[in-house]
Amino acid sequence: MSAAADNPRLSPAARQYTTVSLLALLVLTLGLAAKGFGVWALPPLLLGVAAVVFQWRAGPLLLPPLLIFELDRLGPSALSALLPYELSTMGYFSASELREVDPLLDSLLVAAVLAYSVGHYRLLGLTRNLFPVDPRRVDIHAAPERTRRDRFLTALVLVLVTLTGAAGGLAAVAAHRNLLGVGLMVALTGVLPGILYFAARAAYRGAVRRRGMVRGKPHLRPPETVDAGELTALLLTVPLWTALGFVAWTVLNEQEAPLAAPTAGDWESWREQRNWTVYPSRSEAEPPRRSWTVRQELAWEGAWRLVLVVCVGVVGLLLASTAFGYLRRLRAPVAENLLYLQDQLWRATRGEQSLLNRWLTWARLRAQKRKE
Amino acid sequence: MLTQRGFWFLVVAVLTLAVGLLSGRAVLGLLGLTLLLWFAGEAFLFALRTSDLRRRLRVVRELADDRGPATTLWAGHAFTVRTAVLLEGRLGLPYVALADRVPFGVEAVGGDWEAFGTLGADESLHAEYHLRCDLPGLVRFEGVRLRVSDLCGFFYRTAFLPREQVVRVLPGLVKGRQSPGVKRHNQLLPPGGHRLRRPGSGSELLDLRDYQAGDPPRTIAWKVSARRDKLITKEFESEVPIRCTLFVDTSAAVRVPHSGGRSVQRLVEIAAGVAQAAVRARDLVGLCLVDEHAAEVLRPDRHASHLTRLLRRLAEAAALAPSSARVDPDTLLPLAYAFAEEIDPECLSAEVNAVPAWLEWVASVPGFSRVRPKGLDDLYRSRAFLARVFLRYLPLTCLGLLLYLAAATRGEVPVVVLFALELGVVLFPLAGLLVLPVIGLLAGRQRRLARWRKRLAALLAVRHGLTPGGAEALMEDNDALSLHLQRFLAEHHVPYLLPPYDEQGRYRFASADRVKTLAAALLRAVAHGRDNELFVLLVDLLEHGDELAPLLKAVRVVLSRHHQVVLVCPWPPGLPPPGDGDEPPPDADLPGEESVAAALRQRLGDAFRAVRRAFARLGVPVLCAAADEAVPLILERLDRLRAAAVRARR
Repeated sequence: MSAAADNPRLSPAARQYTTVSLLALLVLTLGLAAKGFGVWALPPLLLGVAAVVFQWRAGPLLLPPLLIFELDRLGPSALSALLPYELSTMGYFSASELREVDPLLDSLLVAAVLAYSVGHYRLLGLTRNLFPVDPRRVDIHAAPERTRRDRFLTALVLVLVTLTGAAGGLAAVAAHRNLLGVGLMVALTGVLPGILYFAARAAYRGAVRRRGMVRGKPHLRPPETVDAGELTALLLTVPLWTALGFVAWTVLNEQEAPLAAPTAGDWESWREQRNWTVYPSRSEAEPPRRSWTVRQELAWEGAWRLVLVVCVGVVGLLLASTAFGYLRRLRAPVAENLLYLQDQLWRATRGEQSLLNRWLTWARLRAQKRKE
Repeated sequence: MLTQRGFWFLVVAVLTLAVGLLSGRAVLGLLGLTLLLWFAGEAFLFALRTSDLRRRLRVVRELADDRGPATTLWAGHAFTVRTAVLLEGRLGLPYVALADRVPFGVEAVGGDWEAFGTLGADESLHAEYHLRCDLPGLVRFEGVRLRVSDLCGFFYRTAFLPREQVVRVLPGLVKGRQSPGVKRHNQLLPPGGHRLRRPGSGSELLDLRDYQAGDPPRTIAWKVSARRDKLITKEFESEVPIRCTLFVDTSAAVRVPHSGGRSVQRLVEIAAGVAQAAVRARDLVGLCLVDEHAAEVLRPDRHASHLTRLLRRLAEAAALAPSSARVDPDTLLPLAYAFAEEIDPECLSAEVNAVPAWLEWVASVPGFSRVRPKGLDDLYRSRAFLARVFLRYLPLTCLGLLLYLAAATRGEVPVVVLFALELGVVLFPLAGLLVLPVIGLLAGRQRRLARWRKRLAALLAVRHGLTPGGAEALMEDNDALSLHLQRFLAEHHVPYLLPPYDEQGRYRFASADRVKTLAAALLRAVAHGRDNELFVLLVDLLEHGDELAPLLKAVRVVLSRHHQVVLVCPWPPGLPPPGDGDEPPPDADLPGEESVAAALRQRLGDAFRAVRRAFARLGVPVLCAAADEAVPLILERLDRLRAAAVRARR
């Protein structure tokens, strides 16, 4: 048997999707560098490569949050209004270095993220699992196994959490000179995660041992089911979806909120009406690069567009589910439709039926008892 | 439809879009919107492709043995199953995993019953595997389980494509051998003929006697007449065929599964072996299937088509499942629900078979039950009653509260009365409010069973063609639900266990009617019989030691007509066969299971010896059909018996 048959990661199909993912990451990195991120273009690449190499399921899920974190550093945004001032102004790039809005570059970045996500998930289907594991199908002979890599990662995470917690606790002690508080802090932040982890693991293993079984093996997609057309279709559809997304984004940006955003004066009067203590104005501490009102307006418009997107999504979902539900009912077999009708009757007359049948059963049992 | 992977991807896409919109970052918004649009597009496409799976997919199954396509199988032989799923229509499926459901009671010996791949329009997926069935009976193929997913694993759908096919597994053919009862010297008898030492029209000389007026001249022995100087007539043997009638017990007692199989399968194997041997010897062989209620008769015949019909009927009998009322349906519900979920998931979905949330928390189903509940069951089943009590107590509580307030303000009421009022007014409803949810929370298994009960009752009411109110009738009547569950499982050949003894310790499957039915069938066979009848009774009489009188009476009638009877008693598979003499009681120090097996063996051994003694008084041999006793051995005994009878009549 060939090595590719033993290890699905070595199969041509897996190598093909690995290449797609890595290429997409490279394009993403180059795009970020072209945007002026410099060294900060590397973290997404490192995260993506680690996810591909270690087959992390969370890889494509962690990439957008990382991009959110990085792209938000482009300058003050509406989100920064939610953060403390020191955090919100930390790490701005020089505006002269950055090209904040560049349709072509942005589309390239988006296409790269989409291609990476698709490629990585398809790779996971070949090497980790494609179908979710059916909880009813258990493999009673399989024993819970942990690989050496899992153990190493677990130990690493535990050590890091414990060290961080302990360091934090010690720093707190040094600052406050409170030995009891320090001990408590160290215990809570450093030792407790470890204890909780081992307790949870023991409970899980106990449950597995009691039931005498673990979940069945995951289903991997056989590499031979991957044909060449798949990759071509992927490479064609990614630009298509990106273009569609760009058009949708353009249309969405043209939508304006029907109501004007509240001005700073509105907020002040609102506070005064409620006799709230006014927090020291940020303008006193730092001259704003963008005015508070501009950020408010951005957020206001964004919130309106978000509501619009949610409404369109919900309506679309409702319409689609209604249409598919109607078609399903229309094409359902006779037995299923009979069951549906019977269920409607049961819902309407359940009380009467129950009373009647309960008495009938009681009478039958009594007659049977007398007969015996 | 949405997998965990898809859900989290959706969350991240929405989050990215929301951050992009709120922060005004165009690239983030564009990224979130593109991911969301792509995801929505994939979801729509997947829903469209999988919207009508059961109509678009066609299952084709072919069974074949060594000689080609087969419609009937033989026990002990391997056969090949080829299953193909064909997709009709324009839209293909991105990734499909199909698994042909391997029937119960067969052993997979090779191949793969699963197939994977992309299924394009008008394309098909094939699975080929090999099965072997060691015991006769019926094999039921249910259909194909299908799992469809997109290539990223975001969307997932399962479906079951029914393709029911019931195939008979006939008892294995016994190797041909010459019956010792057939005479081999001087001349061969016509097929199926057996000598009977009576004067008749055969060809073998039996005796010489004086000539009597009316004797045909061709029977005169001229040489002997010349020597003796008087006319002597030759008498020839009577040559009649032996008719063998097999009485096979198919009552619930022999259908009960044991660790090594079911007794009825063993009886069927023996009956099939005897029938084949008899047909090979050109004897006529008939069949009478006896259960508690009736006897089904196949008249004796010797043709090959008759043997095939007989084997088919035996195979159907071997597939019968035990059935008994008064079995608590809670013992069958998990198995039946799991199986129904496997073969008919759509009919158990909340869309067509809903279970209201209040049902498992408030309702008490069934209201009246034969089974005496215990402990938590008792509390769970009576919580509706408790709820009613608390509700009815509510006006009384209000009245008591008023009285309590009035008495407390006036201060002229004794403390004892105040305490009683306080207890009744405050604590009782409070206890009710606390106890009912706690009972529901603790009784998780009962709540699950209540849910399964409703869904299965509705499903069975439709499947078995009950009235529209049949679902509620099944929910309220334990016995009816139990019988319908057994019928459902038996129809699909799902092996299930029933408790052999009821709450009073009585054997559930004992039935005196069976012995009466058998006796009546035996007498009827004698009435229709001719000479040289051999009746083989394959009947479980071990649990009927005291109720054998009608059968013994019928056997006496049989013997008085110069027929022969052989009794074969089934023995539980996996249990050592009984000894000839009385056995010592089992060792008390044996571990649990061995102790039970030893006690069972001793009890059944005593019963077997009692039956053997009862029939030995009539001269009827009794054999034990133990699992390790081969069919040829029993056939040899039967042949010896036949030969012995022939010798005795000489």
